[in-house]
Amino acid sequence: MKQKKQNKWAVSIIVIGGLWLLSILFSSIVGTMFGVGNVQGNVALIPIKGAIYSEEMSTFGERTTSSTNVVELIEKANKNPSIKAIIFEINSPGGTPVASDEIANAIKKTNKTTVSWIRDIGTSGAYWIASAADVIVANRMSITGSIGVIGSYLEYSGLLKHFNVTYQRLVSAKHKDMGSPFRSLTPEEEQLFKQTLSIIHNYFVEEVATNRKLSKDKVAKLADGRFFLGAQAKKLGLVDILGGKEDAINYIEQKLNITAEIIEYRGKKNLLDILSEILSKHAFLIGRGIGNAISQTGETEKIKLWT
Amino acid sequence: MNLKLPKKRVVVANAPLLNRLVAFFIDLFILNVTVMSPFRQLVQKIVPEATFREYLDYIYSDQNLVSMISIITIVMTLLALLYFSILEFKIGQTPGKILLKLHVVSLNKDVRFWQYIIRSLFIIPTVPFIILWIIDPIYIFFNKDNQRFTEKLSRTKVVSVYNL
Repeated sequence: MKQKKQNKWAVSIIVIGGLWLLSILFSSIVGTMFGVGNVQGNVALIPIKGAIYSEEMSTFGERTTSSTNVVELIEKANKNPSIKAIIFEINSPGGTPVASDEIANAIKKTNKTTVSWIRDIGTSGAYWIASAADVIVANRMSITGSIGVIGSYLEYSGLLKHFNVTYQRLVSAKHKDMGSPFRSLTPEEEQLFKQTLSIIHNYFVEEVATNRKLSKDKVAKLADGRFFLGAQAKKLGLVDILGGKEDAINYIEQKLNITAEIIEYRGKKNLLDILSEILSKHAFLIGRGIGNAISQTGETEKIKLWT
Repeated sequence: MNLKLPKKRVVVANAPLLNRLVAFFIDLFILNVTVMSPFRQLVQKIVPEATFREYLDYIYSDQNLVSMISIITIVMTLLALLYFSILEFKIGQTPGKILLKLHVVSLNKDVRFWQYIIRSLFIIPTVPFIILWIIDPIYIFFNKDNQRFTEKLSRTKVVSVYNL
C-alpha cells in the first residue's frame, strides 16, 4: 500500500515536471515571438542597427533594421504608461529616405523623452533619425553627419558589350527604363536623377534644421556629404552630449527625476529566429558552464583593434 | 505460521464536498507555483506599472499584446487540463486528492482518456465552458452521487476511501 502511494507521488512529480518543462518552453517561445524584454523598466531601449529599410531585408547575414518594426516598437513604448523615456541605440550607416523619414516621424510623435545614442556610426539616414530625438549623445570618435543623398549604381552596359550581349530595349515611354543597369543614362535622364536627389537632399536639410533648431543655411553648409567625428559634430551643433549609454541615462534621470530601469524593445521574430535564439540561449548556458569549469576566473576579455 | 488476522476493511463512499474543495485548491496552488510560474513571470514583464484603467487601455491598444495574452491563456488552460486529465487517468488522483484520500473512478468498465478530459472541461475560461462554473457545482446538490455536471457527462465520480 505504501509502495503504491509512493508510486503515485512519483507519477505526480513526473507529470508536473513534464508540464513545467513544457510551460518553460512555451513561455520562451511566446516571449521571443512577441519580443518581450528581460526586465520591467521605465526607459525603453530601441536598437537601430545596420542599414535601414522600410521592410525586413536579408543582406548575406548583415544586420538590417526595418522601419516597420521600429515604428511599431516606438508606438508600443509610447502607449506603455510605465515607459517614461526612449533611448535609440544607433549603430547604422543610414538607409532609404522613406524608412528614415518614417522612423523620424514616429519619434517626433511620441510624448516621451527621447534620446539618440550614437555608437560607432550614425550617418546619413541614421543621423536623420537621430536628429528627431530631444537629445543626441555620441562618443567623441563616433562617425556621424554625412548629410546627403546617394543614388549611385553599377552600370553593366560595357560588360554586356564585351560579351557581345545586347540589351533589347522595349519601353512605352522614353524614361521608363531610366536607371536600368544595362544601358547608360542619357544627359537628360542624369539631370532628372540629380533633380530628384536634390529634392530629397533639401527635405533632409530641412528636417535636420527643424529637428536640431538650426538655421537651414547652417545645415546646408554642413550638408556636403562629409562625415564628422562626435567631437566635431558637438562643436557644430549636430550632437548635444559627448558620451555613451550612461550619459544618455543620466540625462533622462536628471530631466525626469527618475531612476532609470532599461527595458530592451525588440522586434517580432519569425519561427527560425525564435528557435535559433532559444537554442543559442541554451548553448550559451552550457558553454558558460564548461567555460567556468575550464577557466579560473570564468571570464575572458576580447580586444578589438581598428587600424 | 498461519495467523488469523482480521482482513482489512475498505469502505468507499461519496467524497465529502469540503474535502473535494480543499483538494481542488491544493491542486490550484501546485499548478500556480509549478506549471504556471513561467507564464506568470512572462505576464509580469508586460504588465506596466500603472492603474488598472491605464493597464487595460494599454493592453487593448496593442493588438500584439491581445494576441499574446490570448495565446498565454490558451496554453495555460491546456496545461491545466492536461494536469488534471493525465494524473486522474494514470493514477486516479491528483496531489490534492492524494493528500485528502480522494479517488476518481470511472463508472464505465473501460476507462478512456476522453472521460478525464471531459470531467476537466470546466477549467477552460471561455464561452461556452465558462457556463460550467455555475452549472457544475450546482449540479452536485441535485444527484445522489454528488457528481458535478461534467462528471455525469464523463461517467466518472470522486470517492473517498476509508480503511477500517
